[in-house]
Amino acid sequence: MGWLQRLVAFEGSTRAVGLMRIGAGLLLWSRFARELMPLRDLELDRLVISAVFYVSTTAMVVGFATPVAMAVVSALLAVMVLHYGIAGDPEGWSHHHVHVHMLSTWWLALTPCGRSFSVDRWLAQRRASRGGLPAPREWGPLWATRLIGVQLGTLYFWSAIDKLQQHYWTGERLQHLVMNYYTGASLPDPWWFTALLAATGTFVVVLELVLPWGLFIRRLQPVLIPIGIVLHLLFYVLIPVNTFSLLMICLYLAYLPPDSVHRFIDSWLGHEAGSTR
Amino acid sequence: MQPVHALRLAVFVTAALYMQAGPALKTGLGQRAPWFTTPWRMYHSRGLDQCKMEVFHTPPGGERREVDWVALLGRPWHEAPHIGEHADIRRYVPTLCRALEGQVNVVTTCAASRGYKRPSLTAGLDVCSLPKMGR
Repeated sequence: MGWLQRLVAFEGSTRAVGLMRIGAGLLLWSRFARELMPLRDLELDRLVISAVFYVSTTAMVVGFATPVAMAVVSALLAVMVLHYGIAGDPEGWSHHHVHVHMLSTWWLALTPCGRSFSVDRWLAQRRASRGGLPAPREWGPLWATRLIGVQLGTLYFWSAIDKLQQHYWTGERLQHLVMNYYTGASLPDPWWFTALLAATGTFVVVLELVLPWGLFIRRLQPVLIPIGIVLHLLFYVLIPVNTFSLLMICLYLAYLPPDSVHRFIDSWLGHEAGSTR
Repeated sequence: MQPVHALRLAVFVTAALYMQAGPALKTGLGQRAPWFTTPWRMYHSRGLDQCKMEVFHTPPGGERREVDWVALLGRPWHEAPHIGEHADIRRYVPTLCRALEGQVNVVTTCAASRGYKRPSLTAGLDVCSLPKMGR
């Protein structure tokens, strides 16, 4: 059971979760800010949701009172998805893309994601400086980042199982999407186009079966992470996935060794690489 | 194991099971998933309301060949209409019949979750000879 102990005792630099907090918060604005403008609905409950959304997500992005902000955003998304989304779903809040936003916020809330790149850190540094103490460490328990990894893996795995039941490997389901978004009833039928869609469908299914476990293996990450990013960028450009692709790419940070992310940012900024502890 | 670690483990296992519940029930077992879960099915039914349409023309005394029906409608290829069922061809057949002399056959093949349904049994039917559709 040593691996379980390592899982729950996993600690590291908080810079990666800090970046994920900012990225996920910005993507929440991109996804919901327009829908939650007060002018869209003047009912009291929607005005309350609107006010809570703008205040709490702002605190989330800038990292002010971060644990409280993350808890409030998590609760708000739960209400939006599990109450409003299920009851009528006027805005598409029960969609799985919104579920990804909700779950990733929940899991990020379980990390000390406010200890880096945040107003909280700036305030903590100022307090430490006044007291003649060293700057607080960007360090903390990161077991919940494994939950983000499990979340992404779950999404890939079950999506692949669903695609296996739907003849993706023949390219026919992709042909339907091509007709839906691009060509209408005039589907091109040269052999190379049919073969391209069959190859693409097969590749996507195979990749979605490999990513759930492969992304956890450090030696495979230099290959699988770029391939996964390209896959999501293609989704982003070719089909209307909204914020989904960018959120998935942002959450890939959960797979990277946190101390490597810390050192990379140090070297990127031209800082001397010191101990992350 | 320290109490805090045991608590983390309990949260981790609960969360992981929650994420699996929807897809395991819906996709794995074909059951109804609880309302508070999501089955993670991407584009599961998108495009299943689409049909492809092929038009064949046999001029008087000539050979049957497939024609670019979108061009005959006066549209660029990327503005081809969407056909949801065979009956939808009624909107376009009169224009095709005016543009083509001779026999015109229209075959539609509609999407299904496991590929395509059988093509319409209209490969030998001259749509231009049908009432209200012809020239």
